[in-house]
Amino acid sequence: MLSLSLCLATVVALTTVTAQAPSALAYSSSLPIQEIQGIPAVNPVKQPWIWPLPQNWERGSNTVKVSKSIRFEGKGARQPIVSKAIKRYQDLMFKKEDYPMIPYNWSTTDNKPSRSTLSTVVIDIKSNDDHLDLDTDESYTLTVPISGKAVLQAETIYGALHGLETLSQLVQYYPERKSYYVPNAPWKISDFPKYKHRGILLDTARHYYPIEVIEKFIDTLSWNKLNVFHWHMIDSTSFPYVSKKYPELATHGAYTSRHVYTAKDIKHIVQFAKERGVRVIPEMEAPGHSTSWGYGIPEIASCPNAQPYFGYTVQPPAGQLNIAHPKTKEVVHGLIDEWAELFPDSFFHAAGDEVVMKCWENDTYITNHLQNTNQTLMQLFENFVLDMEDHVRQKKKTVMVWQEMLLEYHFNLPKDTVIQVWVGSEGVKEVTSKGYKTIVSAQDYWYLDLGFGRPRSNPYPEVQGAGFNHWNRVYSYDMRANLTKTEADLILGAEATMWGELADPNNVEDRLWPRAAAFSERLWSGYENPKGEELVSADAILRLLPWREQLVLRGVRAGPLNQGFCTRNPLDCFQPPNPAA
Amino acid sequence: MLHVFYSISAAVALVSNVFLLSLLVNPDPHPVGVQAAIWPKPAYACQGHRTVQVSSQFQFNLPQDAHPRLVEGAARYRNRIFNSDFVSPVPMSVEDAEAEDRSQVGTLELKSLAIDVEDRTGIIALGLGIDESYRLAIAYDEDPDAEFELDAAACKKIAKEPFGQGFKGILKAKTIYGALHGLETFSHLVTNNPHDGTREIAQTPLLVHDRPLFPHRGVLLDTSRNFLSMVSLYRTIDAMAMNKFNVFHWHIVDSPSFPIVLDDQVAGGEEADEDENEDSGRGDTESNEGETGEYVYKERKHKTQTSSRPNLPLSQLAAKGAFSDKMVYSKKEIIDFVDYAMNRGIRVIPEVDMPGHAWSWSKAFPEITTCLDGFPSYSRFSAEPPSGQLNPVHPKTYQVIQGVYDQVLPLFKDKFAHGGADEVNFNCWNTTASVTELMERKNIPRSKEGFDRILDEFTERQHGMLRQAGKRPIVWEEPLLAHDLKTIKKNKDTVVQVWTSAENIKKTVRQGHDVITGSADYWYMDCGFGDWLGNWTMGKSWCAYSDWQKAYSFNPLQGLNAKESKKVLGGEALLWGEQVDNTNLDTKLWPRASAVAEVLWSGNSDDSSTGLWDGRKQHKNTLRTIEALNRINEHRFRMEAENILAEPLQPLWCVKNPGHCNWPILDTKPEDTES
Repeated sequence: MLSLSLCLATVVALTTVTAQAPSALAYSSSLPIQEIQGIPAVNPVKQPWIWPLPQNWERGSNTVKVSKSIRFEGKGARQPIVSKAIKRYQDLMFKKEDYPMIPYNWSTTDNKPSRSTLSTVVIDIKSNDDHLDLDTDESYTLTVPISGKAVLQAETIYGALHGLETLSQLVQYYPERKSYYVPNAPWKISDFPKYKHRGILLDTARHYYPIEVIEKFIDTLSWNKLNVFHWHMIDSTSFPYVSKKYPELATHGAYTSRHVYTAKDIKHIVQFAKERGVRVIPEMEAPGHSTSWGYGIPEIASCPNAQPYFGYTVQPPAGQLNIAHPKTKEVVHGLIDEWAELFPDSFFHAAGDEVVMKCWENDTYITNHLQNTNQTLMQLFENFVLDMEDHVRQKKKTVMVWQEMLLEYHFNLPKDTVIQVWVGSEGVKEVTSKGYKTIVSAQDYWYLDLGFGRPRSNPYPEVQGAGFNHWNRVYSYDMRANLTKTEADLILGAEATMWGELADPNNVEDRLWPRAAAFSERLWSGYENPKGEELVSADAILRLLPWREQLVLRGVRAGPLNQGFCTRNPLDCFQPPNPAA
Repeated sequence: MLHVFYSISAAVALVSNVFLLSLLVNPDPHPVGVQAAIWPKPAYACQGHRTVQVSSQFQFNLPQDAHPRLVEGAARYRNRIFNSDFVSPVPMSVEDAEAEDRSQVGTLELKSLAIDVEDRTGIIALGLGIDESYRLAIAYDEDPDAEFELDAAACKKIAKEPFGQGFKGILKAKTIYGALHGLETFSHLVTNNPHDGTREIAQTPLLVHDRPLFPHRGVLLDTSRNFLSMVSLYRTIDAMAMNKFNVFHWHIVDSPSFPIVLDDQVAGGEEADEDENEDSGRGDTESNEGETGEYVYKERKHKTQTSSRPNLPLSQLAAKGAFSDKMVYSKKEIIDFVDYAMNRGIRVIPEVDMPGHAWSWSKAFPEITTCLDGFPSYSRFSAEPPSGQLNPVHPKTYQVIQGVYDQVLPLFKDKFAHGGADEVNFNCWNTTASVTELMERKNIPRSKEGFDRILDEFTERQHGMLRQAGKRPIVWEEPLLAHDLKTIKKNKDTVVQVWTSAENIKKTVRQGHDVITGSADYWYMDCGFGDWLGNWTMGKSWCAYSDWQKAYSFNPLQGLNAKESKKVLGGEALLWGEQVDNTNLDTKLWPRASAVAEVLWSGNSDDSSTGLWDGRKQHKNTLRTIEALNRINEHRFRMEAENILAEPLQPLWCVKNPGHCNWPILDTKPEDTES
């Protein structure tokens, strides 16, 4: 019903647009239609080609040439993280596309360049503190005048990084002139994110990702102004973390001795991410999804690889932590101690999802323990989980957990626990109505790994997995739906997920991008601009198309959103008002 | 029935438990006994239990006068066997690993594989229905010329054969293309011992007698909706050869772009480019592969008619209709590509879609096209933007088609050409004044039947040109099933490609036409990624995603009797280009198209007489999916080692633990939700 009414709403909205502008030139009445290699390129530029869209922007009608030896001045430019970023952006700003799929630039003027050249950017950062956290101020302002220096101002270095990204997107290559310009100067941009926590979950347990692939992933996050890498590092399938105290976990639990992450690797990743304004939040998957722990330390696993697995786990292999065994608590504490140091972020994900009771009910160690201590399985489970979370809190970390802890098991979680919602979008209401802060990962919109069938061999070929969330569906989801203002304010942000059953380095970029970019705009730009005007997908697609091309130019294997003709002529590829035609 | 399942499930559990113990006791991440399974599965194979080493001096022994295709092929496979660092992540089954005798590794070496090809000089040209069979033996003085269909007794005999120094490798085939398939199979058998890098073949002695179920086993790529680079196309051919595909259906021109660079046509038949005659000569369809294996130029039958051809600026088709002057294919590129494919036993069949799907012609020749409408009215004239069809009543339309065919068809050496003809929109012609005027003049009613007549006349002329150029036409299903065209009905040799639904296969063969299968309900590899129209928030794909198992479950002969079955030439895995370009071509195609390849090569069931699963008569379990999973998992990594970005079908844990991630064999359907 919901999707039906949304469909109708879209149709109605479209009818209005087309009524105003019958010839598909809704945004281009004042614009020249360019003919490039025989293909008319309507220049749809209601909004500038900046992804995600800045909160406040004003543009003029001049075109300023950009010097390839552009310099960055000011104390801010000398801050180590910023100066490294400048080096990266001196490359990213000058990506050259000689034969672009989008053969027009987004100038709303006649493209006549002004005499002056932009050759200096002044960077002014208020605080030199490089601490990165949930509450880090990420705002910035950027001005690009018709002549003279551009100015980038920010409260923190991380705001400045976002400003550099925006600046790099203002610079356009003009193939016909073989040089770079900022169209529509002067620019005044004042920008900040709507949500603080903007992340992607990457699962490196079901398939392994080499360090270089994770680096590229983090780079791409930062280009989309995403700021959290939720590292789902371990799971039932493999244990790639090389623990100092318990090295046997990886020796026996990793896929091979090369499919591992050492402390050195992790420090490198954390620093790499920090230099791009990305926080790394580790998830210690426990006590469910834990088969892989049992290869190294057999006594801490219950029902390891029980056969047939059905009934012991939601997906193979079966295996949970033995929550009654003293060794288990010791190992979990030991690993939390190590991760608390390796991951400096103030958030720590303590998981707690998809536990299957039958696994423990069939483990005699656990049933004996329950008898001896005269408690129920749920009590034992709750005590284990709360102890684990307390240990995390002792490290001065905020505990994140999956929604089951609250909504299914009804554990007595402290109010400072952040609940990550995943089982459908309706969980957001439940969690926030109980007064908990939440991170939204609604499976029905923001799981980017779905739609490819089940990772099983089965004799029932017609069985489908959950549906594919295409970019527009991703973009359509309003996580505030049905919430009161108080409830909506409890949303810290969101994460799109890339679970690993059917993803690995071969296809992960195509799976993620450009759909994760659609997600990123909702978190950064929100649902309305500061003037209260709604941000709609019909406008977004006109910017997402060139942004996808830009991602490809930057080396990301982002899949095409549509056929080349539509990339060229996006307005000609809108859904007609009467889809039945 | 239930008992059967119970016992199967119990057997699975038993095997799994044995494996579980071994995994926990000895979790060696590099088991020596790695699977070396063949994809697609051969028709018949017997294997023993001895591992032998492949000598580092190993050679393929070829006849002196072997065709260059075979010589180059053997060199290619030798290179892959010794230079690939591929190690299968799939361990052998517990039973096989226990039975395997490695005592002669290090003493027994396979020094050569003797290749014996009946048509060794390549007189038989690559084409539909050539003999692609081969026999491969690695055995002690064993000649593979036994009964073609190996029976259980023959297999037993081979497995017990004592193994001495005299064992040898033999590959026999009727044609060089059969031999190439045999080499591909041989390369799947050779494993890289991860401990010392030596090459081994496990489970010898072995005999493989193999031949395809279907003669037409294709992949369709669409290079009009998004451009695919030559690098991507070559890589696809490599991957196809690894899967024993033999047809590359090149949907080269459609509405969005016209990427073939043609020369201007100059009146009198001389084409502008001096080199052109040479090119068209090399690729002339009347030419044949002579005894030397070289292409011999023969005069085109219609050469004399070219004198009446007008001046036509055909170069403008790509100049104005391609996405850019870099996003095009030159004739030289096409000729080289066709050569490359044929060297790997793959035919290339071109499709210049018409008379629908023709917007891209309009920039160069506006007068021959009609209904060139953008948003929002395109939907009145075509299934997707941009709309545009050829004008069937304008004389110049046929001049341009003839001009395009004159230059395009000779580039492709195959005897078949695809004439397109899908999704022709009559509303378009009904709103085109020149069409309706002509209909009124000729008293043709402006009804479906009237427009069918117009389309029939168009098709007759178009197919006439194809036939004159020596091509047998293939068309999409609509001309026969939706329009009942006389041209198609009277020319029973026209091959019909069914695409909307598998149910149309029967309708087509009953009308006496050969059919190519691969419809949207099973073998469209582009389905399931959401609608791509710009602003359609809840738009869904018009067709559902086929995961590899769904693709594997398709039976092209479903519901056909023996006589009807003979009309099914085979099928294709189709990857339309709306949401596909160089960035994601491989992951969309592989390894799901591998599932298609096996169905077409050896079927999907070991328990049926046809090799194909008859879902209505047999129980679901007779589908070979569970057995195939381990092999396709391995094959996916084998393709990855050849730089094909095939995507995973399961978590790596499942790949490394065969049998542990199957859906429990219960007589109920799995629930629909899980994480």
